[in-house]
Amino acid sequence: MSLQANPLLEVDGLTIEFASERGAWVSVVENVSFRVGRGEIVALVGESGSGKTVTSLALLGLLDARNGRVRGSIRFDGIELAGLKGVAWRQIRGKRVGMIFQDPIEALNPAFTVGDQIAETIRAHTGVNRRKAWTHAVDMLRRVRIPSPDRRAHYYPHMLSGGMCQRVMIAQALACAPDLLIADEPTTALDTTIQAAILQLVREIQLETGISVLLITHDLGVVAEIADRVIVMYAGQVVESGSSADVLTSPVHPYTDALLGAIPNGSTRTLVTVPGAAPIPGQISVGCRFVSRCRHALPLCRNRDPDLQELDKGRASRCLRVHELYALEASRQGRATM
Amino acid sequence: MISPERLELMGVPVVDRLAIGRERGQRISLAALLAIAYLLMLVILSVLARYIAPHDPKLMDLTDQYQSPGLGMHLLGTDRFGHDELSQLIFGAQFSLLAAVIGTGVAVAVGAPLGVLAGYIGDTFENVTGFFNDALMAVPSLLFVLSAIAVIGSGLTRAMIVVGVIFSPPFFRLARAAARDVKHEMFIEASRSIGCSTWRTIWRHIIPNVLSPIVVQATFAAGASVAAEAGLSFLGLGVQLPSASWGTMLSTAAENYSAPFLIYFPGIAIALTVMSFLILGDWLSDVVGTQRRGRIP
Amino acid sequence: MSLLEVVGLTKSFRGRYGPLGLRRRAIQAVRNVSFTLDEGQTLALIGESGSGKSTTARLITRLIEPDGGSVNFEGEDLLEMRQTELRRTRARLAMVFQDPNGSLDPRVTIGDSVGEPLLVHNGLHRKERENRVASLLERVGLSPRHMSRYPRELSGGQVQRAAIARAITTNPKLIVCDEPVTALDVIIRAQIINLLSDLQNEFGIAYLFISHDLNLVRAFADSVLVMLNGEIVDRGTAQQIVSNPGHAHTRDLLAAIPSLVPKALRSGGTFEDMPTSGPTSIPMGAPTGLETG
Repeated sequence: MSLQANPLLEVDGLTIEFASERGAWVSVVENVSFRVGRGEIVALVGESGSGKTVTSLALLGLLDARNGRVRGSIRFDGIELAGLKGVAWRQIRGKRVGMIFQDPIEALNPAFTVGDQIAETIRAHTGVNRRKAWTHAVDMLRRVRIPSPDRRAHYYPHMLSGGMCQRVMIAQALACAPDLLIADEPTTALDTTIQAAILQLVREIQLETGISVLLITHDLGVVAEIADRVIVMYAGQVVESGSSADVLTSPVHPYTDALLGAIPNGSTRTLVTVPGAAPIPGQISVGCRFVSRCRHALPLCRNRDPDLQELDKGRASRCLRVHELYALEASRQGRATM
Repeated sequence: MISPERLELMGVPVVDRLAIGRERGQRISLAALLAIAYLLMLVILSVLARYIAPHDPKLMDLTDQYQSPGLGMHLLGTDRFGHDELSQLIFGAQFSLLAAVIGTGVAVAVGAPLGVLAGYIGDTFENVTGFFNDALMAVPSLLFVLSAIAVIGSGLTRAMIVVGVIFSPPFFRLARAAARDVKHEMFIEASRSIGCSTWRTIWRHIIPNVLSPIVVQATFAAGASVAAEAGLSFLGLGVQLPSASWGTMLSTAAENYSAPFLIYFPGIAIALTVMSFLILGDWLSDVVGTQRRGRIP
Repeated sequence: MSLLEVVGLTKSFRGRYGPLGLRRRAIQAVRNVSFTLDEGQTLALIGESGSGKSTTARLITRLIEPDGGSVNFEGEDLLEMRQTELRRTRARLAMVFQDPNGSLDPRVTIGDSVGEPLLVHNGLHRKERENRVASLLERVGLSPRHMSRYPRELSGGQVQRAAIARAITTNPKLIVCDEPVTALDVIIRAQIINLLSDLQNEFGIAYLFISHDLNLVRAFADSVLVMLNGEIVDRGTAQQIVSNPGHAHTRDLLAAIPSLVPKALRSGGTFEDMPTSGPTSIPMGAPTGLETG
């Protein structure tokens, strides 16, 4: 957990359920709690099906109420976001919380120039006139390091590359100087060389403005580049959290271990991996959810639902055997790869 | 709002809670059920007309003209020639359904296969067939039908074949567009990569994936065919007297407005039938639309 | 004699219309690509989007017709073959595609999809096909009960396994893999890579592995080709490429490989390896052809 006393975002006991085909409610995210401090970059890490994307959508009230049910508390700067109604969201979305999505070209409206789209966001929240909004939009494009921003502002999204579109998205998200930026897999759809540049941009903006960032990703490399803290999710639960330095070098949950092991490091031909796949929502049984894939599994892991245990130094783990395994890890040199 | 489609692609299980019914969230609406029931009833009436109708529809009884509907021998009354309305109505269902079958059948047969080939093969073939298809669409349909019938003669079958041809362009376009879309799917590339011949690729992989919009359009075409038959028979170009279809019943009834009930019954029958097809088509297009390619994470 | 010998492969596409209407520019997607691949070896074709790597894969299997060059597979030029013979050759030259969502026909069961090559090439009866499919599915880590399922009922990793099963059905000598694991999660990705390695060890299959992830391939590829703008700009063994890159783009790709050392623990803590090639020092991505400056 973040050690800040007055965090910007506080999620407590977040549970998200969807109606299954048989009418029963299936939980996709279960009892998730975490904090994002002011000026922190926090990464929410998990594979598909872990619930990380649904969590980010719930934070901004983007889940369709007909299908999904959200319980728990989401406090943003003291304001309770869970259960907020339509009009009140307009004060939050775009103004105090910005969000960028995975595929930038898809997320931009193809019928409008990028300058228009940013300017429209500005005018929607601040009510300044067109000229001022346009100037501000060009300024935002400049701040995301797009060359010749006054010219590029007249471009349509299809005329820009993926990397540039993502910069436009970032510009749009930051146009009204929000306190929190939520980035859902912002680099996944981009080429590797562009990924590095976008991440550097996010880091620089964070240093310039002190904005907090909640980064949702499956890529631990991204986490290593820019995250201060990491929250690892598996099958709808938080299984580990801590500073990125700690989690990446000496993880305290077998799942994080497996994630790190599966990343190619150039030395061996066979990658270290665990068998099987994540359990499907609705087919989750009692006990630790990683048990069928864990090489440290014991019978007790199947019988008891493990709780998220808080360890020292702001770390937490949901492994029942964490103290035995943690002691093991402490005696090793750690896991610095490359 | 994030659309359900987008959520499904992200791996979130999404099912509309308001949908009742069987697997995959197929919505069974009351209207669709009624429409299906009505059409089934028509089919039964058509098949068993001989046993259900109280009289021979062609039987004339000039002593019994313009009887009002009521209890007694003629439940729905008689027309100018003493024909029993109810029997004519029941036998008329045969013509309407036959018209739907011929009209739709011809439209699909003419439009869909050519459309699939045009979409898949493309190039000159598509240009040529597309040109003819556009030309057919550009011709004023009523004039075309009247002229064609003038050439080949009237009668239900001939008239409906002509109507079917007129109805074929939307099928061509649908099939072509659907085939064009599916052509670029990865699994079509994959089929070719395992060595499937063009024919097999089309038959096994393209066609099953373009059927859905065709079926929906066919339902609409069936409704339109019923209306077309009624209109042509009214004009004397479709079903010929003394056979009675709902269209000819209207034509006979139109001669004397003092018996309005003679207009109501066939008119309502036509309207209900066309509407049932449209409702059915609407429901089918909803069902087809819910079959997204969702994925379990 | 090499299993696959590609010489001078070329392909151009008619370009898009410019913003003012009629200007058409031909885009050279693949320019003069040549390489060889021996039996049982893995050759990785690395490039970013727009580099021409996927197009090259499709040219080699003749899913797209090349403009020029030759593709010699087992000594015969694929580009000279007639359709019937080409189709027969496809039994020995299989392909695995990128998107688990799209590479299997959604209206066909897994069993039928995996068994289709047997139907097309071997004409086996239903019972024989079923037996063979069942054993293939087990070989790739699925179970025979998946035969009656549809692709949408399986996870991404499972669908890719089925796609691999379909590819090995007719005992191919070469499998062209177009980004087969890109759309999969990290752990599943590793499982699939291991599966491909196993199959190669067991059956001696050669792979032409298309990817944008240099990090992924450098351990299990024997040789690597780097593509940029339709051309091969660097080639060598995986070892050579990594330790001694011969082209700026290779250096860029190497630099972009994310380090798992957390930023807090790095000396300097900034991007000292920023790519420096190109007109600006910040990569803006491949030009779309529509920008005029």
